[in-house]
Amino acid sequence: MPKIAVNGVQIFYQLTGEGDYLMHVPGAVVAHEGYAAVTPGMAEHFKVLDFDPRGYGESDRPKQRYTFDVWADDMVALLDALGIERTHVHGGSMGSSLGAHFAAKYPSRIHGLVLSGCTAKSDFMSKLQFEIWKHLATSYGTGSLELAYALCSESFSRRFNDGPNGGMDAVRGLAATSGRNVDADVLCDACDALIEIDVTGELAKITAPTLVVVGDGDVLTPADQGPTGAGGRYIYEHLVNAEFKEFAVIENAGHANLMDNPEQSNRVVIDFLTRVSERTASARGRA
Amino acid sequence: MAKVKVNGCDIWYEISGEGAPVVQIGGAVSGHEGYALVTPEMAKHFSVLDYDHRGYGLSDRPKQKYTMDIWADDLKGLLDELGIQKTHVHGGSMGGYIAIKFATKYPERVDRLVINGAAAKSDFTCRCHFEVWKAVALKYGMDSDELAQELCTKAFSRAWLDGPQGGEQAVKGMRESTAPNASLHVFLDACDAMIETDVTPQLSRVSSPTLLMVGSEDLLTPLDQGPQGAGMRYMHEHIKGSELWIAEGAGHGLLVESAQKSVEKVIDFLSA
Repeated sequence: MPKIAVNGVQIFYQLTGEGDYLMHVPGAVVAHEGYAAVTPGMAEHFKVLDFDPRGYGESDRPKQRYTFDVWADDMVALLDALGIERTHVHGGSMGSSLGAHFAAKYPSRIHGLVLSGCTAKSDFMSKLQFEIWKHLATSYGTGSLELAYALCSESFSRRFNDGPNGGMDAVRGLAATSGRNVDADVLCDACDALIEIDVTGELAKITAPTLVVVGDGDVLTPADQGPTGAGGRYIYEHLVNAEFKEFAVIENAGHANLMDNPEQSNRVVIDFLTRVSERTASARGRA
Repeated sequence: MAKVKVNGCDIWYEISGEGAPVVQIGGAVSGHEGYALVTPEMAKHFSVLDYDHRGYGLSDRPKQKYTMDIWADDLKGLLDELGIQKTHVHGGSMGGYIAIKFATKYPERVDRLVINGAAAKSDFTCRCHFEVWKAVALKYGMDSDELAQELCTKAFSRAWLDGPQGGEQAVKGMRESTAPNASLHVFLDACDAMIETDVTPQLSRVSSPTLLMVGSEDLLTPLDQGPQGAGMRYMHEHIKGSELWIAEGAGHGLLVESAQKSVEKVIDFLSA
């Protein structure tokens, strides 16, 4: 399990497979483990870079203020340290808001971009949802069933929660994964970052081909936020300088569409990024 | 404003207007105040009976185990005391859970039945929501902003929360209607009662014309629960001759978000 020094902290990372680079940007709770079910399939097509952001999982967790700028600057430093000039970026949940921020700040480092379950700006409902996560994490702990009840009910579809992979096993599993990957102070900073986020003004800076993905039953980051927010559909409509862009709705899926409907979710991501890779290769061939 | 002894407990009630009787059953947090916007309109057409169920508002709040059966039996006792043989019944949110329990247990007492935002059986997602309610209430109390925040995320739609009545004033309003009306020990039981309820085997006993109302954006008691639950559509399919009515754009609290249209629908249905 390699680690590398980035901006003064040790960052855990893992490379799997061969092909164009694909960086997985994790969400607010379970770090790189959120991609555990996805990485093997992706590694058949790409060279997948999984990592734990500062404050998460096996990376260092210094006491400090965590922001999207801190994490985005770590991402570019990680790419520098690994000698990666350009990479596909797939962000899910908070990883997608971070991915959008990263893509706007460092557009030249992005090959193809996938934003899954993404919020550019939180409406009042989303702000309340993240406030509740903070309350539960602070008073019961990040490894508590109480927090996991909230995370499961907002991340997974009702069908998933009632199915063979849902129920109390999912709650206990998420509590354990969350407990070992993040502490309450970092999760609270992450929630504040999500409450305060507003990348609507930066969307025009994103130049990479971009795929926006959202589950049709997502109650945390739905395609349409309320009027004071900006959800996936808003993002798609405002990517005015993306080389090209696509919008995919994953059926029968909640926020965590990678787990709710992995088949369709993986297929649209692989299909999109493969086309981006082929386009680049053929452009290189012409040049 | 009066009280009457029902099954050993002082129950607060109020009757407004003239006409056929309608009893309105409150939800898990705000007692009869949940119908504050509804009663004046309803009272132009009906004799409206508002009351606080046991454990809520101005009624007694004994230390005991609270269940849907106890609340349904109290409603029957209240009707007996008031000499009301048969009445229209309107229940919203947990009041809907109580109404459906009442209608399966005492079908002969129900003239017409209106259920809004309830379930015949909670799915696992519902259970998670109620577990979070319990956790937040236990740690922060019934008069906390934290609980009011959580309740707002389940009671209202995104669009409404972003609108002129939403935002921090919605949280404040929720806190102010919860704090005086609900006690912690009762609320915890209410959450468990909603988690454990299952009236699916008894739905065929409902013999009254029934209107089922749900907001299209309801996240708590949506049109369709997961496969382990039984939501509004399930009830529609299993209550003979029932009518399903969807308030487009509204969340769980459709009597607030879509007040005028919802009340008009209730009046139309009960007047038929």
